Amino acid sequence: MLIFIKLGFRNVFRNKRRSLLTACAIGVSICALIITDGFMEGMIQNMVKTATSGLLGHGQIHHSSYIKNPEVEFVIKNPKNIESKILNESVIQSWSRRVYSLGMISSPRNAINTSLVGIDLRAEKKTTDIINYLTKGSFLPSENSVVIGRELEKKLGVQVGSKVVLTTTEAKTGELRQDVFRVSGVISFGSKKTDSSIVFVQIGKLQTLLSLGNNYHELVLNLGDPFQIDDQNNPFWKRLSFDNNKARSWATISPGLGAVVDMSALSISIISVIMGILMGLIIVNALFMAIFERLFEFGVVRALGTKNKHLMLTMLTESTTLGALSALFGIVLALIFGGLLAYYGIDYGGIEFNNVTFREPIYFIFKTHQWIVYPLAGVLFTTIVGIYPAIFTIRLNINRALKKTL
Amino acid sequence: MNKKVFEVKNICKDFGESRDTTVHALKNVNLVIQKGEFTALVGPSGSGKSTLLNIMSGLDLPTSGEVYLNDRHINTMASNELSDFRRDHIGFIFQSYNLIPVLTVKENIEYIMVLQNISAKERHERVGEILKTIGLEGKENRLPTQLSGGQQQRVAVARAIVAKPDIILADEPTANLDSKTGGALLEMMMGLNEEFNKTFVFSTHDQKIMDKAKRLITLEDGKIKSDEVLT
Ligand SMILES: Nc1ncnc2c1ncn2[C@@H]1O[C@H](COP(=O)(O)OP(=O)(O)OP(=O)(O)O)[C@@H](O)[C@H]1O
Ligand SMILES: [Mg+2]
Repeated sequence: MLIFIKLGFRNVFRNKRRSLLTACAIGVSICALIITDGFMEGMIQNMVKTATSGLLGHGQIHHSSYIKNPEVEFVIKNPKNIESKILNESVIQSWSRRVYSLGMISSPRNAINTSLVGIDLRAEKKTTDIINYLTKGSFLPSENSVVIGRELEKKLGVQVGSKVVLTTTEAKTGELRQDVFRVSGVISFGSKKTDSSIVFVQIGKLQTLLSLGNNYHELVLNLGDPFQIDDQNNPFWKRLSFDNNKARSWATISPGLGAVVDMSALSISIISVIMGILMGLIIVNALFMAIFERLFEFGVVRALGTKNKHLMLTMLTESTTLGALSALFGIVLALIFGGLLAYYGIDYGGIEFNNVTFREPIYFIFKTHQWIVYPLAGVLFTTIVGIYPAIFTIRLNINRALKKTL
Repeated sequence: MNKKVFEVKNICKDFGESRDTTVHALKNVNLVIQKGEFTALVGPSGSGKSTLLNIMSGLDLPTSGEVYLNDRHINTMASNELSDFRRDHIGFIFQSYNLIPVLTVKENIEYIMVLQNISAKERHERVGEILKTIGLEGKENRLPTQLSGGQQQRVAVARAIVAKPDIILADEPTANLDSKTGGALLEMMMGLNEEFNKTFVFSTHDQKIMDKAKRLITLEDGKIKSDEVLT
């Protein structure tokens, strides 16, 4: 049996230039798949990290009615219970309370509907990165300060230090409540929608305005790594969902972001299929060229009594060797390009995609599966495609192959 | 000594489909080959030598007639059976490009024995012996391209006889060699014929080569014109 494998193996190196070119072509396809995978991974991580480091956080807990209908009255049930539960979950690095309400912000020039967000500054700093989105001023140094979105700043015609009036409705009575605030800072998340409606206030101040006491609407969680337990089916989320409160992962809260992850898996599959067709054509073409070059030889080995299975073994060894060579090329190329992309990255700074703005360059991210799945699939695929030319050689008429020379 | 190995009965071979372009390459050829014969097949170009050798080897089918090897009718065999039968009973030598270029001399000779499921040990022994016989000791690890044309044909002869066939068919084995090298190759084949009683049938155009044959069959226009035993 060994002799047929030897024969197939050595046949690859018979026309070194052609085999090398073929292996390069297939190698480039394998490299392209690895690079696409690593780059997509980089893009996803970048997007998710950016999104979850902002308001979204890695997870949130709400009253289940608040999720369907964000009314001020749907505050978290038995907050003390849930807070003590949280202390037992070691994956939770930090957490922060938030209060939400609709309201109106008015300046001498304009009055605009806004979303008021009451935050606990000390806890928020540990839990999310929103403070880093501040573009001007400082973050809520006093009870009567507000941080407003950049678009609001323009529309209201105010500056840091200007006075504004916030109007909102008290939770129980529905009475209007008003107070005067000073703009302490301006914030921008890169999304026009958010930047033209968001107003941050200290949580205590908003609780007082809304007469909520110590109640609040949202608990935002920091889990360290956003991908650790992003699956909603993880029991972690069930453990924190009780008393009619519901805990959800970022992927559930922002299905758009979750969909991007699925979409990238789909696009990798589509690219794989296209690359596969391309590789298949290259391989079949190369193998047929090789076959026609040594047609007489097939006649000779057949005349000697070579069986179909032997011929198949020889031919498949040849195609598999070619595939292995290609995989090697692909890996080397991908290591070079992936390494460069992992080091330098590609700067998409400021481009908004799916409501998330890339704040950092996108880097290639190395994952073990890239270096196993794609090269192996390449080799396997080459072997499978090689069956077609192998069958062709099996069907060859000996006499025609020998051109009737005996 | 006089044992019939090969018998060709009423062989006709036509080429071409349409009636007006049909070539009658062989016309009612009858031939018996005895064990140990050393037969040259001669005749002008186009007389049907290659066609006859092809049909004798089972590589091609006759239009009509029968071919028997050791009293087995080879034309009715299924292709797999014929393939095995050919491997075990008929050796071939082509005019050129007999050897697989990526296999060494040793591997080329071994190839057919692998197909015969002969053990590695025996293969090794037989290769050693045969290389001595053909005068290529020490060259077993060379590739065909590292051998001269005459040496390559010797390896082809070695491969043809190593499987211990009943008959060896060779179509102009010396045609690509100069007359000295061709003569030497034929001397070697004669040696094998005399020493081991191997049966050879070969075609040739070369007067010097045909002079060495023990039996001379002349084909002309698809028919046997003469069949003489030489001394
Ligand atoms: N495949 C084929 N198709 C059509 N005609 C063929 C074919 N093979 C051989 N012939 C014809 O059959 C006849 C015998 O050819 P063959 O090759 O047997 O001659 P030959 O004696 O071997 O000649 P040479 O000495 O030139 O090798 C020739 O007329 C040739 O043209
Ligand atoms: Mg001929």
